[in-house]
Amino acid sequence: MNILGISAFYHDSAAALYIDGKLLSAIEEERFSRLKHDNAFPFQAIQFCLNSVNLTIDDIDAIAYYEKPLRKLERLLETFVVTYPFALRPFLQAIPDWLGQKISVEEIIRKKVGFSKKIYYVPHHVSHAAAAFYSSSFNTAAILTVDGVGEYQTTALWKGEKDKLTLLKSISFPHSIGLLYSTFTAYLGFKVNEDEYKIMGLSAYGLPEYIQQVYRLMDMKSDGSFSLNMKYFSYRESFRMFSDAFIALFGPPRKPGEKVEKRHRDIAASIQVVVEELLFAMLNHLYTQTKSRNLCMGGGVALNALANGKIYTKTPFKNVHILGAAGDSGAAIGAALYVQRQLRGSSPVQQITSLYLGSSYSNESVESLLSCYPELTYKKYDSEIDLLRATAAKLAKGKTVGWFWGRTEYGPRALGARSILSRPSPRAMKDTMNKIKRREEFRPFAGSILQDHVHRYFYTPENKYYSPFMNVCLIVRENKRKELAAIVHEDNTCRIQTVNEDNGRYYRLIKEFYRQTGNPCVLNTSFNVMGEPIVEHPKHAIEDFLCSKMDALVINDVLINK
Amino acid sequence: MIAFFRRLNALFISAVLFFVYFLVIGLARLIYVLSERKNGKPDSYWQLARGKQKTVELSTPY
Ligand SMILES: [Fe+2]
Repeated sequence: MNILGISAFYHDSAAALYIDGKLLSAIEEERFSRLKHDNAFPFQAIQFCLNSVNLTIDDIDAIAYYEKPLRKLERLLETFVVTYPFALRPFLQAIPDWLGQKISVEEIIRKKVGFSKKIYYVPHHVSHAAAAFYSSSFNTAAILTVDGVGEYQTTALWKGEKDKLTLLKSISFPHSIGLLYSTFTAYLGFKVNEDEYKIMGLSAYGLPEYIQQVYRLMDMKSDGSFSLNMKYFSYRESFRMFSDAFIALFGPPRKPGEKVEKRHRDIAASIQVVVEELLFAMLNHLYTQTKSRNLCMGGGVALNALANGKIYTKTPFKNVHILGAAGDSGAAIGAALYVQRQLRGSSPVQQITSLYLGSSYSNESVESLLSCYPELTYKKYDSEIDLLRATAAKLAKGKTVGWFWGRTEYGPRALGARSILSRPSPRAMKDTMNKIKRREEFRPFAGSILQDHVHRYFYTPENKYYSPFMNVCLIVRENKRKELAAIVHEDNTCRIQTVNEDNGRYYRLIKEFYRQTGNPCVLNTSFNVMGEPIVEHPKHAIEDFLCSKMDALVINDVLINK
Repeated sequence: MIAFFRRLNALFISAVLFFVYFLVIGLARLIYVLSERKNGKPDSYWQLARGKQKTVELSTPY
């Protein structure tokens, strides 16, 4: 059975294709449209998924859509009733938008995609829960889904047993941890639904001196449930996330581009602490409801790597699984997995261990492209080990290397297929990389480490700790902080990806780097420059290479120098 | 010319929506206010699932 999962019209539109129970292709629309977090209907992503396995839309048995659009519209209309008469402008903007495209998902799929068979609409948090649980190795697990908002739900507790997902409890719009965090993102002068991780990075530089004020925004219970005091928020009735009462409580908002001051850092630290406290209270409550030591998390808030790293010490959970694409792009996978379970009944565990599911380009196409760039010199290696030796030697010498290999990653993190790499020390490597990426100084860099060595460098819950999707921050051991100086953040944590054989050539590269330097870790940042999606075509990689201070670029078997 | 008609069309839609907002949404608001029950602070804000998960209907967008 062939099932196509789709997410669209909120952010991170994407398509994912399951063929006979196997996830064969998945990609976000932004990679093709070049619009970061593109929310347009993912025509190009769908076409890519089909082309990648030489199928046409007629070969697809079912389409799984990641939410119920009419229930979402119902929530929107209810919100207009509740906020009447203060939301005229959002009403005038949102309704034509909905009547134009968002409401006619079926029509788009029928007429523009040309699909004539069954379409299934999976509730949004069911999609998140299915993506979180069915992609794990667990037979039973507690599941927390938490995001901005789906149809109504913003937070839900679940129990997963084999093929069954059971909803236990939920919290609905407008009470939302995702929107709470986004409100602070907007208040601190960053982009909503895009820059939340900047707040997470900034939080390490501040002191949580505004915790009391943050708690005044809500009523929180010991079981982790909460209700936001909507007098401080205006995301229901205006285009601004926070209200005048919020400004009276925290002071004037920071405008984009303004200097980041101590007050901003302290506010970032405070919201991070409160969100962590909320999450841990919820998770402790979830444990009492499920008594399972396995935890799966889904939804955009599950990308908060700083909180994720503390789950092991702040809750009873021993095994944690968070899919790399925990946000809405991953909901396309979840919707497809859920429909598959419903149509086929029982399915064996289909743990997702690798997210290299996107596009790839041949050496021939790269070489023919390079003929258009006479200023570049390159060498194509016939032997992989020679290429890895040469690349690792450059990294060892402190060079920065663009690394474009195989199929691109699904989800927001570069996992060693479209990455810019360097050695993880000295500290100055961070400045060099910041110049290449043209991004804010306060933002930390992540690392990729051989799984066999992770416990020697980090405080891990177990030896050879497995965390392949770079969505957990761990504390770096004191005696290793110098060795990882460029990726140790202000709070001594680092967002880390453990790498093993599942990572193919990337694993072999780090192994070679380890052989040459004795260091099993590299700095890994996504291959893009500020404001752009991760590179898709080799020509994007070459252009970024040319207009930055990157020292070398590897595309498949070709090593390019300036 | 096309741009002019497009703008006219958008203006017309806005005018219709303006009336819909103040009349239909306004009426719904009135009903909402009249039927609103004042609850005290609950012990928990979790909404219990009460078996509604069993009835997930996948074939409709609602
Ligand atoms: Fe979501």
